[in-house]
Amino acid sequence: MEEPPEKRNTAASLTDDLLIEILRRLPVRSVCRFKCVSRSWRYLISDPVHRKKLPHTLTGFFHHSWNGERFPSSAHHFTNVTGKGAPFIFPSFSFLPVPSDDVVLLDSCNGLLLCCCFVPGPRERDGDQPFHYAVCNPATEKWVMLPDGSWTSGDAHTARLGFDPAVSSHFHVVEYVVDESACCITGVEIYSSKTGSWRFKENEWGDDVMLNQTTRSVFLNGFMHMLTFAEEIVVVDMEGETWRAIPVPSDADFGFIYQAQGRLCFLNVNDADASKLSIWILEDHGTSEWTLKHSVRTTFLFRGKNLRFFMDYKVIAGHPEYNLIYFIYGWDRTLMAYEMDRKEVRVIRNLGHDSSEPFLPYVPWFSETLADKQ
Amino acid sequence: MASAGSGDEKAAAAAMITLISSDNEKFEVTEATATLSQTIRHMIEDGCTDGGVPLPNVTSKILARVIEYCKKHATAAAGEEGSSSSFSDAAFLEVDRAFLEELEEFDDAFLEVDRATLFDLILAANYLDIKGLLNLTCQKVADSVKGKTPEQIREMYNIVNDLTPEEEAEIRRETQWAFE
Repeated sequence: MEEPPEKRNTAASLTDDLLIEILRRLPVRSVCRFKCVSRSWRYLISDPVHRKKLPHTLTGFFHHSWNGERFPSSAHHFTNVTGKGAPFIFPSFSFLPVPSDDVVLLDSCNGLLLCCCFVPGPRERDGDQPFHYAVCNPATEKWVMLPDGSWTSGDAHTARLGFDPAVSSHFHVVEYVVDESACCITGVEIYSSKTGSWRFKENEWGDDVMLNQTTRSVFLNGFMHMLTFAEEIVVVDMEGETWRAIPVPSDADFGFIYQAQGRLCFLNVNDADASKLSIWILEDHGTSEWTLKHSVRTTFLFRGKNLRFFMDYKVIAGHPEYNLIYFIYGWDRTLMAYEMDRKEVRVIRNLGHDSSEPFLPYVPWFSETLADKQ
Repeated sequence: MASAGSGDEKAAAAAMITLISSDNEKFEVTEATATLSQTIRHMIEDGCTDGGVPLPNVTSKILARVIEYCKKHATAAAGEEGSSSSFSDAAFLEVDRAFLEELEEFDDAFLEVDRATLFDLILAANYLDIKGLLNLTCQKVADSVKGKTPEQIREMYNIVNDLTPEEEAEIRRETQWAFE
């Protein structure tokens, strides 16, 4: 006889595959929380086969090193920050159609990486080496080589990747185009994997916009955010139709932006108090209103040493879910994490003095497809 | 047992399929409706639908609902394929949009069922391999559990917490951020 519906453990009637089918549609926060429902849910969610189908959060960083005293002198690395075992990503990039030495990682966004693939052979007369952009998924080893845009080959460019699998399986690459003096933005060239082509849009932020290329961009709600040297965050949508500039909440030469729990965060050390690191959250994109979320003394982070932001230590990422920032400091490029709620500082690992930027945060994405029109 | 297509039916009866629920109720549906199910489509292709298709995993109550969904969505599919010559493009788009809105409203109303029925629909959609219905029902469940605590999930689905307090504390420690 059928039990009355209110007494049935309805979830138990579903097969594991069906439960995963439901769980994979949830935010990563919910999935992690549901490990506490019961033993069977815990095993289901932790199972490596199922893990691949479920949403993920930050697992580590890609970085690069160069050392003339070893072979290979140039190498890509992946450092796991989950505290659980070996890196499960092997960053040889041997699946790309060019030698690993000729691959330079430029950006990462929700599981995809933007790379610069240099064309083997002699350099051009002006010393620049021609390259193509490639976008790849290191978890599935799927990749796509992008067609060339209209820019002149070899110029110094800043390119960023925009991808959000919760919204679309398509990605965008934004290249910021600069004037002859190579400093002010004249426009953006946006590649859409949907159309398989680049489109140039003239700058509508105003004159004299200079990007702080050394920091990361944030792709959020379909907009690419980038920090400038004029205490602003310049924002553009992927159609190149909407252009905005958001003033930052605190003046300083250097800052950093990241996204946490779907909101834009900004951190810097104010010129007036060089030993205090402050973290702000943009509550409302419409009014550009920032709320101070947290402050911490540099001496607390570095055991009494008052290190200089950007010079002595660099913030490299904010955790997308957790109130946590990652930074690098010292000769050995020590990777550290600071947890704001518990006010805890943790040393993760020395990445080695020969490791170099960019340190790209990585959130795995296991979908087999890599959407591109080509 | 009634053999397929008894004499008094019309010519269209050639394309009719009989589905038999677990409690032995018979449902006559068009082939277009039935083939939204990949499972039934394969059976038709293999020519094993004479005498009806027994579906021992689906009760008449659930099968009736599934057929209701398939009928609506089969018309939608037919509307997309046939069409257009009598409409100008703009008019066609207009009709198309109106139809899609109607379909969306239908889906929303269709999902207004209790939890047990929703889970039975998921099982049926999976067994019959109806992608659209499986997506729809799984999304509905996902939307209803998003943001819930583990306690609320246990209560909603009558799940017994068999984790020891130590195990639970350990999981919470590992994923503390998810609980804030």
